[in-house]
Amino acid sequence: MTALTLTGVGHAFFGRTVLSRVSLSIRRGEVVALVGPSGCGKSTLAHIAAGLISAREGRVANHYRRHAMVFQDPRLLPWRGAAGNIAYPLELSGMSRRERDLRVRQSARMVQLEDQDLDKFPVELSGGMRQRVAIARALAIEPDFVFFDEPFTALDVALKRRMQDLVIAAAQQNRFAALFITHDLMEAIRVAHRILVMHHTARLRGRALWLLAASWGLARIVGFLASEQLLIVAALADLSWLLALILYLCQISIQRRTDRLVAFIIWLAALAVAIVAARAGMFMGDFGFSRNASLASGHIFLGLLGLALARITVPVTNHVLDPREETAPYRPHPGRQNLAPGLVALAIAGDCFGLSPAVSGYLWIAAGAGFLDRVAECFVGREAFRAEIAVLAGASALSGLGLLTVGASRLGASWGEAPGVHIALMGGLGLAVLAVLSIAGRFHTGQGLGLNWPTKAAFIMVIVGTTLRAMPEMGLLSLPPGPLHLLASCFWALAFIAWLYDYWPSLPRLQTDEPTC
Amino acid sequence: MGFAGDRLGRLGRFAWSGWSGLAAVALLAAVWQAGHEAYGDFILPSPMATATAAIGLLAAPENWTLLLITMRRALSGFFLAGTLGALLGVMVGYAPAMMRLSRPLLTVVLGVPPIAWIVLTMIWFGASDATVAATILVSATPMVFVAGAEGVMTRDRGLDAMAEVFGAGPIRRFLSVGLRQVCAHLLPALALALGTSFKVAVMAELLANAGGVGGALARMRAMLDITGALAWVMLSVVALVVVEYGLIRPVRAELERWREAAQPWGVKR
Repeated sequence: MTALTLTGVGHAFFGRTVLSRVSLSIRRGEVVALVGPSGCGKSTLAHIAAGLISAREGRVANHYRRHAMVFQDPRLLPWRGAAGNIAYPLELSGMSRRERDLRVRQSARMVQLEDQDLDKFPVELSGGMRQRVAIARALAIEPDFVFFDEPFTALDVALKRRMQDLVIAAAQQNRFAALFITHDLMEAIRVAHRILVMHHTARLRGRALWLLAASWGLARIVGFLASEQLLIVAALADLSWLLALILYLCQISIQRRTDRLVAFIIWLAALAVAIVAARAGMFMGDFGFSRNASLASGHIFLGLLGLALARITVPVTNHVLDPREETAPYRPHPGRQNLAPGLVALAIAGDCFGLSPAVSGYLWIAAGAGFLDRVAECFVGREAFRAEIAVLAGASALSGLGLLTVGASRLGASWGEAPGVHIALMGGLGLAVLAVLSIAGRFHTGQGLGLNWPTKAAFIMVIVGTTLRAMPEMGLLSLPPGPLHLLASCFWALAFIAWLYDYWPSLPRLQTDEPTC
Repeated sequence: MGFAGDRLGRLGRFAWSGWSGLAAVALLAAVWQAGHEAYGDFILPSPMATATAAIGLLAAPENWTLLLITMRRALSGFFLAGTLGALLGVMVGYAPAMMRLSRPLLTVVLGVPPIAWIVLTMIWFGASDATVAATILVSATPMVFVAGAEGVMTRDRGLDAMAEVFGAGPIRRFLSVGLRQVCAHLLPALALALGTSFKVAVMAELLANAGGVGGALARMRAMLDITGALAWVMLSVVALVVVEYGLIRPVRAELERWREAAQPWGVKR
């Protein structure tokens, strides 16, 4: 009978794959040690198994009643005495006071804590004592599964040995199963029935076909933009879109992954929304709608972009769970970190409710500033400077500047509203592409924006091309539109080649080096 | 028994620390007396004369009413500011994006001098309780707000993870783990806000001519009664001390027993 089963568990922190396809199972009453070099994702695995982090892929099935965890640092509540700390999980489970006292005493005895130490606060206890209290806390709820996350790393050799004996005795007495994480092989041999070794997983290589499909989707949007003058670009885009679809479906049938199909449908839907909204917003004027109506739909388009943008995760330092670890899990909270969508939504709402131009102008300025605020945030974090981040930042900056212009013009600035909308649309387009890629990629490979250099190059070229295409309309360049459009299509073609290169060298598949468990 | 004994011991230690308080007050009085002797009765009346005047003021029941009016205003403003600031601060602390949005707002609000707020609230509410309460609200809320937000943001996330492992939901986690850490930041800010409330209340009363201690001070100024003015100042300080030691300190002592356990002996009292 198994107590815990992990099947194909994988996790990535913002594109950096920490775990992929790890499977293991632990029987009832079995103590399993997980050893490996630091930074190979052992702690992350334990956190996933304990439900602290939700895995990007794979399944966690537990068949135990109650689990407990002993962390690397004691993590005691400093305002409670030792007894109060041991009683904390018991309180959470709603046990009566009398029973609690009894249990506290029992488990304190198990870890050889003396009665006089029970009244002391953690600050008054030595390091070893504190860790003992943490173990007693874990044992007090009589768990049938215990996670030990490198619990004795900070202790000296003699103390470590005593603690290990303690765990061994407790495991024999209480018959709990345990996942004991350590990087000390001797410790693993002493404590565990079975040892699993984890080594560095190679980073997920190989670009899945979604990138190609997504890039063709982009080309299709570009085709819409270009359809007035350069029909051939649109035709090419359509053709390639079809090709991508066929290749994609082939891949699905080869890999027999139904979740890929689901991801693909979601991906299509996202793209459709973006295309329809962009189309409606930009060309409604042609169909006899008033300029305001077309502007409003443009705004709605931007709003949708903002909402999609909120899904893009950006690592933020203050969400690091455990800064001492190499594999410190980023816990981005996309919606809460990002001001732009909320402010854009506010500004759109302001327009809808017919606020005065001055009020809505201020709201749009706030929205633009929100986008610009995001730009700085893109670069927060250790590994944040990556090309796609730069693109994200650039696109956000463009959107922000555009919206600022819109707001300022409502307040009576002389340069007019239309160029601002154009600039914002250019930025928005880049963001939409990134958002769609991100969503598709998340569903697909379990990583966020894990892009390689051809893709990044393609990104940049598409955005340069699109900007070039829009420049004469914005009145930023006095060149005749013809040559500029040609230049723009050159960039798009380069983007196409970059993507093709990305696709060609190896057939798209997820290569994983499974940890030997 | 251990619990009650511990509390009694702390109370005793606290009462005993009154001696050091007396020593500090005596030192202040010495400097004051020296000033009095150097500059004469008109510029600076002697501390004893002031204390006598203050006790004399307390003999008249209408002065009690004045003092109580000011205390009521200051406390109502303080409770409003404390509640609003703490609630908003904690909420914003959990939403970093809101924090970024509110920081510049705070700078703007803090940049406006309190005097300006008094002028504005006088125009809006006239010479009433609302003027004083609103001025206190504006000047005391930001510091409580910042403390609440900082408390949430600097909390030990490891403890949150620990509570989550042992099955605490988000609300339970906040109540049992987050709140205590927020309080460590919030209580000093509340003590500060209480002091600000009293000061702002007296200032607002003086400027808005809304009665209370401020009104009495204005009258003393008109009559050039330095002793009376100082006596009123003394009374308002005493009122603040009574409220702070009766309200804030006991709560703080209760919540921070563990911190006390870590302090060296000389600081403990």
